[in-house]
Amino acid sequence: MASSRDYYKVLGIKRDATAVQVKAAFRAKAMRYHPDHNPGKETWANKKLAGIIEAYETLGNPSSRRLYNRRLAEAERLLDETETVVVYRRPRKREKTTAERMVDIINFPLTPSWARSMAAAFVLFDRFSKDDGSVE
Amino acid sequence: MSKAVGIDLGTTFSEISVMQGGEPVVIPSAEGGNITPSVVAVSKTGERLVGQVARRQAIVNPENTIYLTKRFMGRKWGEPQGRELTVEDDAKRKPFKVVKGLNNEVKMVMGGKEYSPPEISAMILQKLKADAEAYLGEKVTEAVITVPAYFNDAQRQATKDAGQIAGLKVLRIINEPTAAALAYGLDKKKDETIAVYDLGGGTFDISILELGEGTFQVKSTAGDTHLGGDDFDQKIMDWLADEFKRDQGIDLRKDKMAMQRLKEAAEKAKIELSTVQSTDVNLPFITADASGPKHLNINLTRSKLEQLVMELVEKTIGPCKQALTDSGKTASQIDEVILVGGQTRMPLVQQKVKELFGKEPNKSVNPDEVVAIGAAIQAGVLKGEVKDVLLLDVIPLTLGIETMGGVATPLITRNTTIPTSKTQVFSTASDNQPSVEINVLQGERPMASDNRQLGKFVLDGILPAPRGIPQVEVTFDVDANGILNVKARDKGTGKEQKITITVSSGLSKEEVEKMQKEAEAHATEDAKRKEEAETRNTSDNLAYQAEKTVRDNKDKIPEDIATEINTKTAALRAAITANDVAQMKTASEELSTALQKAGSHVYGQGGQQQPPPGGGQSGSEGEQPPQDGKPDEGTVEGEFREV
Repeated sequence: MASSRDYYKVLGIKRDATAVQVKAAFRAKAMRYHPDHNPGKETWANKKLAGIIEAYETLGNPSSRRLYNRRLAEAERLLDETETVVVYRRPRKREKTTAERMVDIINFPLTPSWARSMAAAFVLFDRFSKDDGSVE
Repeated sequence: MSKAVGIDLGTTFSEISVMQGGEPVVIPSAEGGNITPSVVAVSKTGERLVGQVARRQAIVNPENTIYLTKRFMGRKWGEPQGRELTVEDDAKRKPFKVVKGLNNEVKMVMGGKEYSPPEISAMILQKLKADAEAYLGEKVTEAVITVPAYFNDAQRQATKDAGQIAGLKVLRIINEPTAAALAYGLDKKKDETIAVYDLGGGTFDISILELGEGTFQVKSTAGDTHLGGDDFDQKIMDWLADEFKRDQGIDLRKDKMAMQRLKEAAEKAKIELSTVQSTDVNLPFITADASGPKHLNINLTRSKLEQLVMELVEKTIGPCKQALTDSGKTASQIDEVILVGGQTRMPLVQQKVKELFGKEPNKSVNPDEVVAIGAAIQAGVLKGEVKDVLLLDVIPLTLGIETMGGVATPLITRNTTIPTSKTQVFSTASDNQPSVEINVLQGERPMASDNRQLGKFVLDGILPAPRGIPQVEVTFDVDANGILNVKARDKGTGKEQKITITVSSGLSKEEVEKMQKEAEAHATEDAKRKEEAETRNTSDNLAYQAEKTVRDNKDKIPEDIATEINTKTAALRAAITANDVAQMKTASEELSTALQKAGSHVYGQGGQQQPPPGGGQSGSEGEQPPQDGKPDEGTVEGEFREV
């Protein structure tokens, strides 16, 4: 499965981490996010752990790590070249998101109640769809 | 807080262990000894026997003594077996009956009643539970139970069902070699790569693990769920029967009782030959014909035994090689080979392990107890008592779906570390196909029909399109417990369908609950029957003592009191014969009262305050200690006072 995630970030290590460091980082992360150690948050923990295992399976093996590094470098090079199109760094002026505009509508004292209800519904939906448990 | 125990539910023997003061401890059975035979029986008097007592009477009650139940867990008559034996093969040559249920389930017959394999296993679990409760002095309600790593989902579910029927909440089902690795490596600081070679009573597992600093990661696992010590015993039995037939012309295989004796003798000889070079199998009066009784007396040498079982030991080579390949390690990269399971005590097996891995196996763990100990540790981890332990296991069998042409397309290959998630895009096989059927499979075979079907669902509402155009995304999610969730999503319509694979063991949820209630009721009944037996015993003792007292003290006891005692004794004896518990209790009390009157005469000469002599002590519970001359106080419980 082609992953757009940065495995180094997932394990919390630098690009030049040694094999020993990779293993230690994997163990630490796995211990932290194992569902057994996260009672009540098992679904989320299982997802996190699956990602950590996937990262380690690539980075833990020298040849697959080499291959991954190449692909990672390639992907980043592409992003650099098309910087004006893909915004992946923080935009200079922070514009309001639609949700934030909706919150303004709610807070504005003169908003009719129907408009306030619609805005509230939007905000709720927006928050709900974001809440997949990804805290990190 | 109730203790969570670890249980090794083995094919031939079971153990139970618990964490105590930070250390895992194997709990002894009520009969003494740490291991309990996985044997259940119904005696001729209708009493249910479990464990050692069941095993001991197997010879005289072969048809109603059940063993090797694990071989039938989670299985159906007529399912595809791959390389393994069919249920029919397993049921052959067993002295107890194995029959077909309504939906091809396996049913075992004991005492004229049919039981499903999880019910039988539950009886063993109930006994272990009771032994643990007696030892710990508290209720046991939660357990971690182990299974062979190579068990499929139905077999695992059957084990869970057995736990539930026995009144246990199964916190986790873990793999036997992983449990053993946990017990072995808990204190190891340095990283190690180990192989666990587990040859038990009925199953063989080989697992390769990396461990260190509290992390246990399985790299690969392989095995044979139909290879174990019992097969070794069978080879010896067959040879003995053949030799006997050759010498004496009688085929012992027709005689169930003789075969049972042969089985025990074969096992005994096999065990002895692990330490000596030759042994005699001696079974007098094994059978009889017109010319009189026949005796079996055959000598078995270690070299002959090794010839007989060589083929079985060599069957472990294939899985070992496969596990090594799958793990990406060579034999020389394995630091230690851990031996698990009683059968690994055989010198031939140890030699074969040495050949395979190029080093002496590590015998620092007790092969009978290490799995239960590992399970107890895992129970401790789940209860939060044991910290900084991480277990990462793998799925032992490939998971996939059925695709065009009846082909099995893998989605998650075997030995993938769990939890894991894999997504693949599929399409339709024919033009304007409105729906796709997702048939979830487990197994290594290339054709879907040769693999085990775990579940099926349909995703419909696919918009008409030429075949191969619609995009259906199928995601397989396996969590840390090994539970599989399958999701299918039509990328065109966004429609989604999903199922959680809960494999049936052959029993429905209602059936399991019903069996659980029955098991509970039986346990209560058992306790009642035990109490009855005790009452009968004490009554009998009391009657005997009364008779003795009257006899020994004829001159001292007044006539009327003696008569009263004799009457009451007769009444008690009648109650014992009638087996009337309530009557026994009443009659006992009345007799005690009468005896006290006599006592005051024998020792106090009616009225005198004389302390009873030390000779009043005896081990019998029915003994009535003489009162110090007090007049009859009416109904008094017979107390035993130290003097």
